[in-house]
Amino acid sequence: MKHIKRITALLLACSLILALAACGGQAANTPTGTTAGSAAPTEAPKVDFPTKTISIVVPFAAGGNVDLTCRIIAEEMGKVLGTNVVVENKEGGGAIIGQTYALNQKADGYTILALTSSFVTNILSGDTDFGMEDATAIGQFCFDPEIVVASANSGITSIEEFMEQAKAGSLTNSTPGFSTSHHIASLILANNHGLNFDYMHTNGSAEQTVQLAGGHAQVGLTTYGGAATLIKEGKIVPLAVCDTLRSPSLPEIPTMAEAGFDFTYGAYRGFAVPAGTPDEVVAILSDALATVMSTESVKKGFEDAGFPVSYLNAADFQTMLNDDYKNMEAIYYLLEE
Amino acid sequence: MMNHIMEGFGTLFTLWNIFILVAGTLVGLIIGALPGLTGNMAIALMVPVTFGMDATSGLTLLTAIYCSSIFGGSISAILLGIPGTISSFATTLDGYPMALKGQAGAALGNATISSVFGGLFSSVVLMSLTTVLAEFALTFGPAEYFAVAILGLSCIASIGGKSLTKGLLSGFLGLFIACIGMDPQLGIKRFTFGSVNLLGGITMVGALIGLFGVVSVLKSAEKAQKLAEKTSKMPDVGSTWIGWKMCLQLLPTWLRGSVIGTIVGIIPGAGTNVATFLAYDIEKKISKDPESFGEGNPKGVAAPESANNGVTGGSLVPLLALGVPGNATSALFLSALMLQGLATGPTLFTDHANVVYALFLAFFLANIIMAPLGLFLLRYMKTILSVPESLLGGIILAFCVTGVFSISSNPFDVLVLIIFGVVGYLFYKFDVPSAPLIVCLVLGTMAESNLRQALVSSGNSYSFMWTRPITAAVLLISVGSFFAPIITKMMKAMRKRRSNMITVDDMASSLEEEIEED
Repeated sequence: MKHIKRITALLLACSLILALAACGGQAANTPTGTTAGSAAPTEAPKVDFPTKTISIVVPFAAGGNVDLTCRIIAEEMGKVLGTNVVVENKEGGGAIIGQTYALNQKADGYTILALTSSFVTNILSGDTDFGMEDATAIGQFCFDPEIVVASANSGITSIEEFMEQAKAGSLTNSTPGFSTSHHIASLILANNHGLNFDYMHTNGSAEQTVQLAGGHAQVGLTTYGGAATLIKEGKIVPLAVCDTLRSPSLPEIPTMAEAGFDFTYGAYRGFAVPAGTPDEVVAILSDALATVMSTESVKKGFEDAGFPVSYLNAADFQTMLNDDYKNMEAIYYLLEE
Repeated sequence: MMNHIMEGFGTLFTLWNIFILVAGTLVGLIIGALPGLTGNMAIALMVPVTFGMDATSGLTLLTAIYCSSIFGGSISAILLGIPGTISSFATTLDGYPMALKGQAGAALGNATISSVFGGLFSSVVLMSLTTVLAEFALTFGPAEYFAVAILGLSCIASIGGKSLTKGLLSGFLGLFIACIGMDPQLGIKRFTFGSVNLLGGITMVGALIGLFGVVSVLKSAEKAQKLAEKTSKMPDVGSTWIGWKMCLQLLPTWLRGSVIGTIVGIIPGAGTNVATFLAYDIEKKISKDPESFGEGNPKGVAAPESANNGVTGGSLVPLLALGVPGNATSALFLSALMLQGLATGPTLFTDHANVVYALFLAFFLANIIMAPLGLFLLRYMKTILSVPESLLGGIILAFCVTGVFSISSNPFDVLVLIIFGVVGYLFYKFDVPSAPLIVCLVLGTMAESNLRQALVSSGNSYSFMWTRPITAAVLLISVGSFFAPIITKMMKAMRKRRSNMITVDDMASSLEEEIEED
């Protein structure tokens, strides 16, 4: 109970500060009708949104990484928007089922899709009835960079050794499944740097890490959260981070760029709505997400669970999605044998 | 360790936590008992709720649901012949026949005590040996997983019913259905006919509830038509207490079931299903009276029930020690731990000993209070049997459809349910057993995926089957386990034929020969 009180107090403080800032910035032409409760830092919205429950459609099973992040956000988002925000899980079909469902709902902002890298790959696979143009970005809330790791049994201790042996084509690369983001990251890395792997596709990231820790596969690309314990135990050796900056969780591990290899890749998570949603509604949701991602309780929730917070607004996230589509299109043939 | 346990006591024993423990156990029992609703689903929905609680309360809630939902599955398995989840499927094989013979009470009591035994056994192992056993989990590579899956598959010959041909037919159909979906290594779509709903394969729970739930409703509909005039009376269910003598008889079965369950639980990815199949199969093989299995042998209930609750504790071993979840449910525990900011691994035992030991104690207590709560609930649940079958059928069907739809609110899963209901009904009409189909559907995917992975890591050489000791040993046992019931059957047929023609002495000597040949 104490927690909830503290969180509420914090939230109130946050929204007050934001509201004050908003009022201060537009003091000259703010209509007197603006109440201190509305937290939107942009112009007073012309539409009356939201007036009912908003649902976030998660195309993956409850309890997974995407689900967890969405649930942490949903609670705060409800407070910021002054309505209920619920999470709906529609898993299956490599996330296509949930994605199709969400994008076929009314474009009124009351159905939000939790969008991950699989959105782009699913479109490229040709199995979807929707395309890039059917979703409008709201914003990104998390970017989890890929980390190149090796099994302690493999004897590989540096990214240079990794590259050398991978060029010779003698390494078994464990992934959490065919066409998962870790597999695709490996494919792009291999394609860019002339590497060759034997892929061992397991069923999920838990199996992937076990195979690496037990020495049944030699190398792999993964994200920090799932492998944290085995990295600390020394059974899995982190070699490099595929990001522009070093990871705060692994400050002593170099980035790929530092090691002299140009490669950034990671799993991104964000929100989108069906195309055709009014711009005002998109703006309200995007601003709400910005507010939510800066609250202490969400930051702490993400940090505790090992998810890096990295917010992008609607425009930036859309650009990023379009870029990802172009990049993926260029390498997609690798997935088709 | 003793002082850690005391610390755990201190952390766990607050009025709020005890309330959570009891409430969680009750919720788990009910969810487990409803066909289609799984404990996994309940836990998934509870994980975000634990975010607002302190670590001990949150984990206590999940633990209570986990333990009791596995046991709850046996209630519908026994009373209605519908396994609520795949982990209580093996319980149906003997539990339902017992209920038909008017021993529903004894079967339920048996399941209760067996579950408690398995749960307590595994929680003691969890409490005392976690750090030692975790290393064992890592020795399992794809080759070993493949062997374990084959071992599980080998039991189809013995659960296949009277006709070997029909049993195998059902099994092969299961293996074929397991092929539907994306190829695990190449990503090629197999038999999906362009439907995204088939990309991930057939939903297991939909198939299971269709084969057993829908079919049982159709069966009772048949009967209701014939007995339309008769009013049904409260059937005799008998006492739920099975007596000390029975307990003593079942003790070896419980021990075997618990050991199998705990070991399989520790191996990440092997799953509850394999444990129950193996426990049931072993019990039948070593029994002096294997014919009575499938007809309502109490050991056929005790073995899978002690095994599936044995898995609960085992599955947390690699999770707590290595951060590797052993099955889908313990993956949810990992999420809950992460949300609390607790990192798994050896440091968890030193830095947060009070939380870990409170979790162990919660595990232990959940298994204990499960018995009185279960028996209390059963008193009311068994009156289900007094509902006229013609009414009960409709109610069950409604539950089946709702349960299956709620898995991922996808109407396609209901279609799977209907199709498998029809298949199951045809099977029933032609006297083909559906058990091998389910076993092959569940294990076929696991066997294929791991075989393919093992081939990648061995450079496409099959030599791993005899060069890796665990793999070789398990595969050898599988071959024996598959052919044993077939050979016994053939021997019996031969004996029958000979005894018609030759004298008793001749028969004895020829039997000896046969045994030597074996």
